[in-house]
Amino acid sequence: MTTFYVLADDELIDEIAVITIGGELDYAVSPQLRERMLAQIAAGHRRLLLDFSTVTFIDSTAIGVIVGAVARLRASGDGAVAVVCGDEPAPGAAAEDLSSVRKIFQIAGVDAAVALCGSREEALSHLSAAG
Amino acid sequence: MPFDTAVGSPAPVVWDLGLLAEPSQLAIARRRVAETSRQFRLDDARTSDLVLAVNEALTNAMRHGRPDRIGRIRIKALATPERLTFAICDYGVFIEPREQLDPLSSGGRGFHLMSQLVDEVTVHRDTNGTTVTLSKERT
Repeated sequence: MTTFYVLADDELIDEIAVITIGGELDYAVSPQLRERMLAQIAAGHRRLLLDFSTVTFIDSTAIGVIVGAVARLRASGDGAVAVVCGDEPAPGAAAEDLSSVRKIFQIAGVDAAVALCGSREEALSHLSAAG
Repeated sequence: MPFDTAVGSPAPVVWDLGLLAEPSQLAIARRRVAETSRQFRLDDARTSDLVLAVNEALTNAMRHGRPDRIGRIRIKALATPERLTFAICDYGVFIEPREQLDPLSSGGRGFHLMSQLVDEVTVHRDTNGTTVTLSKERT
């Protein structure tokens, strides 16, 4: 058994780069998240939307990747990152993965560094205003 | 073995596994920890807290610790009627700093998360290696 995750093709919506990942974001998967985020930043996109609405597990390595990307954006001017995560566990989450993404961001103390949004629409609206 | 001297507890051992120190093994360990936690009758929220805490300790051991000569770290489950404990052992001596880091730092959160998610965290380090224990009370 290995980590289950789904990585969709990145999208660009109104100059906001949208990266969608579902499943389990752990140390096995976070390098791919990092690669995707850095590729978008390297392409000149300063507003990133991470759609984690079907993420069932997230650990500190994935959070570190996200916070590292925020730091990189801030070091070179403006930019913003918004994460779509519900208050409730993702549909289909296994019992061992019930911690919500939002809760883990809060416990990790980084909920101020990124905008935690309840829906993709909310995140897009937040990032449009940030632009 | 550092594990046994570190724990030194009369808590009965439920299981004791050697886990290959590879990221792909984390998902297996999480499922095993969840299964044991449910058998111990922890509710879903407490189970998920414990699963994440153990995941963090295992990730630290894989990233910063040292496996045994055939590439394994150890994870052990111990239970008393009131308390479930997981002990994670590697053969290195790295300890992640406990102090609060810069909010925009990309690393160093594992220990903070562990301490927030379980009732007790202990770290034992000697010349043989490092053992982290994570305990959750039944209620």
